[in-house]
Amino acid sequence: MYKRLFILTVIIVAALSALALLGYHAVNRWAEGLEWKRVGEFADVAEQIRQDVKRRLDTFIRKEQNRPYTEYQYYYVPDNITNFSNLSQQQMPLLRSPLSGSLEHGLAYGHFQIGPGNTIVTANDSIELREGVNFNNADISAQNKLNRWNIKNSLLPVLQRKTKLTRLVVTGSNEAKKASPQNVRKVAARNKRRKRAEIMAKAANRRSRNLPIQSLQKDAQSTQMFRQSRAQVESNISNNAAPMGQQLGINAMHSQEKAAVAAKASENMQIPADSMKQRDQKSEDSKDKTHKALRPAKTVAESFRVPEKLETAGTADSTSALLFFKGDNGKLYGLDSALVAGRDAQDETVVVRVEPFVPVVVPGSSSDKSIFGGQVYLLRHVQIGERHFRQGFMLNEDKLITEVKESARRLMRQGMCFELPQLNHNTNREDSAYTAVFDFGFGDLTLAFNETDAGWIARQINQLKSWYLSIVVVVLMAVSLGLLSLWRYARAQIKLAEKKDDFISAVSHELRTPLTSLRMYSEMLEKNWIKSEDKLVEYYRSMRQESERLSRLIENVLDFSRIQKQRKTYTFSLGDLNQCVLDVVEMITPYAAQNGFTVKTQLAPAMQMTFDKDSVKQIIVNLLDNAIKYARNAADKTVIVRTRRDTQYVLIEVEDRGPGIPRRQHKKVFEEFYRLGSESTRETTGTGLGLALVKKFAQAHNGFVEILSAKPAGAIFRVGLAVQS
Amino acid sequence: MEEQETILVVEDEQKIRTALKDFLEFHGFRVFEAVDGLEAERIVAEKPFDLILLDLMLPKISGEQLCTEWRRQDMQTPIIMLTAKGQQSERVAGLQLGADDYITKPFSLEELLARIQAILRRTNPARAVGQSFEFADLNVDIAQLKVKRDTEEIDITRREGQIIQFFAANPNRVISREELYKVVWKENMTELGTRTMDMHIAKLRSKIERNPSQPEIIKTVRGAGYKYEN
Repeated sequence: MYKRLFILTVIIVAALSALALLGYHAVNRWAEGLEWKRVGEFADVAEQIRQDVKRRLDTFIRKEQNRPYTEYQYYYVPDNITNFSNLSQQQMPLLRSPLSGSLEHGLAYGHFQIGPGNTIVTANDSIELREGVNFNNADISAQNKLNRWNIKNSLLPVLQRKTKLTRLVVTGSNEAKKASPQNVRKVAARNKRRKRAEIMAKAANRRSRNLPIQSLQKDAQSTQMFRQSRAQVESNISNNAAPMGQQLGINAMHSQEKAAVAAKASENMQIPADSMKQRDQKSEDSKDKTHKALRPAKTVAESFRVPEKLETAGTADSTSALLFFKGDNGKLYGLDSALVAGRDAQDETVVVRVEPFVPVVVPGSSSDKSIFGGQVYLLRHVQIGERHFRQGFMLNEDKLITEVKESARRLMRQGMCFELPQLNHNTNREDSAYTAVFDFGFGDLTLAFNETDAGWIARQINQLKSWYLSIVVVVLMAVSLGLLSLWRYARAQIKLAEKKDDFISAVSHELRTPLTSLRMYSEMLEKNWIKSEDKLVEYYRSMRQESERLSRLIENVLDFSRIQKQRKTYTFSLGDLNQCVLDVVEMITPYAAQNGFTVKTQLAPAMQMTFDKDSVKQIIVNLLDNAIKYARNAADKTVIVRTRRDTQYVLIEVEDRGPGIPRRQHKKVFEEFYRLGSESTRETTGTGLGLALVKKFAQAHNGFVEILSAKPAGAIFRVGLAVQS
Repeated sequence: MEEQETILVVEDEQKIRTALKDFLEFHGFRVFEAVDGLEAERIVAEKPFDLILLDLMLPKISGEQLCTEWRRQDMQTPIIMLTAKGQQSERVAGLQLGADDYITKPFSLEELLARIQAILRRTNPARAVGQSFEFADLNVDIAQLKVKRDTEEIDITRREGQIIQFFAANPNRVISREELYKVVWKENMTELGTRTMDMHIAKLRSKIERNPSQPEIIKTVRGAGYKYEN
C-alpha cells in the first residue's frame, strides 16, 4: 500500500512540478509577449513618423524640383509670355524671384546657382542695391553673404576636387556609385559596417529598426525636359549670368560704368546697388548697350562642360549627331545635338533639361554639430541648350529635425516619449525601449523611444509573477496537505489492518491456548495417564479454569462484535455494586492465586445503584485480568478492588503493583486491538479488546475510564459510572 | 539400566506446561521447564537435552529467536515447535529456522508422543533397537558390550556398540559419514573425524565381518557412505 501511495505521490508531485514549470514558462512567454507587443507599438509609431516625414519631404522636394530654374536669380522672365520671338531682350518683362527676400524656404536655405566659371548667383544678390537698404534687407544681405561665402569656401572646393557632379554625391544613384571605385569601396565598407551593426543589433536586441526615407534621393525624383523660347532663355541667362548688368541695363547707365558695377557686383557685391526706382528711368539706348555689353552668355555657355551622361552617337560632327542621355528610368533619350545645342538657327526654342536633386554632404567646421557630419546641400544640374548650371540649396537641418520632432510629438501614443540621442549626448541609445534610425541616404537621424513610466511593464510582469507564485504556493500547500492527509489516513489504515491481524493472531492464540489445555487434560484423563489421585483433581480444576477463560474470551469477542454492529443491549436495573464486585472477585480469585496474586477489596458502604450487571461484571473481570497479566513480574502481587461514591459517579478502581503504564499510552491502551509489548515476544497475553470494552461499557453508563499512577508503583484503573436517577 | 532421555519444555502457559510435564514424565522422560525465552536460553547453556519442546510466542525472547540462535551455535538437539501459529507459511518458516518438527495447538498428546519418539529414534539409535538385538547373523548385547556369532563371543567397545546400534536402527539406508559421525560422536564432521571414523569402521569390520577385506555386514557405498543391508 505504501508503494502505491508513494507512486501516487510521485505522480502527483511530478505532475504538479510539470504544471508549475509550464505555468512559469507561460508567464515568461506572456511577459515576453507584453514586452514585444510594446516594441511592436513603438515600431508602428516609428513607421507612422517615417511616413509622415517622408510625405513632408516628398512635398518639399517636389516643390523644389518644380521650382523654375529661373527663380534662382533675382529677376526672371515669366513663362506665360507668348510670342517671345517678337520681343527683344529689352522688351522682356521681368519678375522678382519668389526666393528673393528670404533665405529660408521650408527645409531649403540659401538657394544658389553656380554658373560657368563657378560664378555664384542667388536670388538675394544685391538686394540692398535693388530694393533699398532697410533692416530686413540688411539682414538678408548679411545672411546671403555668409551663404555665398559658405558656397565659395566649402562647397565649391569640394565640387572642384571632383571631376563629375555625380561623384560628389554621398548618397546618389546606384549607377553613380558604381562609377567610382573609390565610392564602391566606401559604399562596400559602409554596407559592411551597417550589415554587421544590423546583425549585432538583431542578435543582441530586436528593439532597433532602420527606416529609410529616400525622398531626397535622386532615385525618388525625375528629370524634367522642356522647350523654352530662346529669347526667354537668353534673357534669363543674361540676367542669371550678370545680375548687375541687367540692373545696369534697366538703369540706363553708361556701358563703362555698367561694366564696372557689374564687375564689382560679381565680386560678391561689395558696392552698394542702386535702388529699384532707378529701374523705371531706363532708356531704350541704354538697354541696347547694356544688352550688348552683358552678353557674355555665349562665352559662359562655351565654357560649360557637356556632362558625361550625354553621349554622342553618329559622326564626330556635332551638328548632325544625336545626343543621348540616360533618363531616371534607365532609358536612353535621343535629342538632336543641334537642337540641344540650339545651333539650329531656324529654331527659336532651346531644350531645357533639369535633373533631380542630389544630396551632397560637405564636411565643414560645423560638422561636429551636425547630425549628418556636415552641411547637406541638394544640387541639381540644369542644362539650357549648351549651357550648364548647378542649382541648389542647403538643407535646413534644424528644420528637418523640427519636422521630425513635430511628427513624433503628434504621433506618439500614450505612455511614450522620445529623444534624439544625436542631439543629446547624455542619452544612451542602448537604454532606449526602441530605436528608430531614419536613413535619409546622406545620413541617419536616430529617434530613441522611451516609456514615460519606465517600470510599468516590469511592474505588470512582477505582479503577474507574484500572483502566479502565490497560486502555485497555495496549490502546493493544498496538495501537500491532501497528500499528508492521505499518508496519515493510509498509515492509520495500515496500522488498523496490522492491529486486526494482530487481533486475529491474538484471538487465535487466546483460543488455542485454553483449548490445548482442555484437550491435553481430557486426553490424559481419557488414557488414564495419571500418576496420582491428586493430579486427577488438579486436571479437572484446570479444565474448569480454562473453560472459564475461554468463555471470558468468547464473551469479550462477542461483546465487541455486538458493539461494532450496534447490537449490544444493556439491561439496567437497581442492584448492589459491591455485591457485583464480590461475585467477580470470588470467581477470579483461584485464577489470581494460581498466578500468585492476592485480590483485596475496599468497598464503600451502601452502593445501591442502577447499572447493567453483566457489563459491570465484565468491566471488573477485564480490569482484574489485565492487572494479573501485566503485573505478573511484580514483587508485590496484590490487586485491590475499590468502590467509592462521588457526587456524580460511582467509582470502581482496580489497583495493581505492576510496572504501571507510561503516560503517553494512557489513551492508547483503551483503543481497540491495542496491546502493550511486541507480538512476537509477547510480554503478555490477551486480544487487545479487554480495556476497549471497559471503555465502551463505561460510556454506556454515561461514565468514563482513566488511568492513575499508584504509589510507590503500579497503575490504578478508575471507572466512573454515572449515578442514574 | 537404561538412561532417561531429557526433554526441555519451553512454554509460558502454566497449564500447558504442567500438562506436558506430567504427560512426558508419565512416559518415562525426564522433563525440565522454562517459562520464557531467557530462562530457556540459560537452562540450555547449562545442560544438554535430548529434545526441546519450544513454544514460539514466548515472553522476553521469542521461540524463533531461540531456535535461530541455537542453530547458529551449532546445537544439534532436536527441536519440536509447539505453537498456535498454524498457517502453512508459519510452519515452513519454523522448519526453515532449524526445527525438526512443528506441531500446532491444540494437539493430540498421543501424536506428540509419536513424533517425539520418531525424532529420538532418528537421533538416538539406542532407543530404536534397545540394548539387545540381532544384527545380521550376530546377537548384540550393548549392556555387556559383547557380540555373539553362534558360540563365538566378540568384545566390542562402547563406540563400536553405538555404531552397530545406529546401523541396526537404520537398516537398508545409505548413511553418510557426516550423519554417522554426528550421531555417534555428537560432533560435526572434521578431517580428523573422518580418519577417526574410518579407523573405527575398519576395526569393527575386523571384529564382526567374516572377511573384513570384503565386508558383507557394513558395506561401503562409494561416494555416499555406508549401508547395512538386512
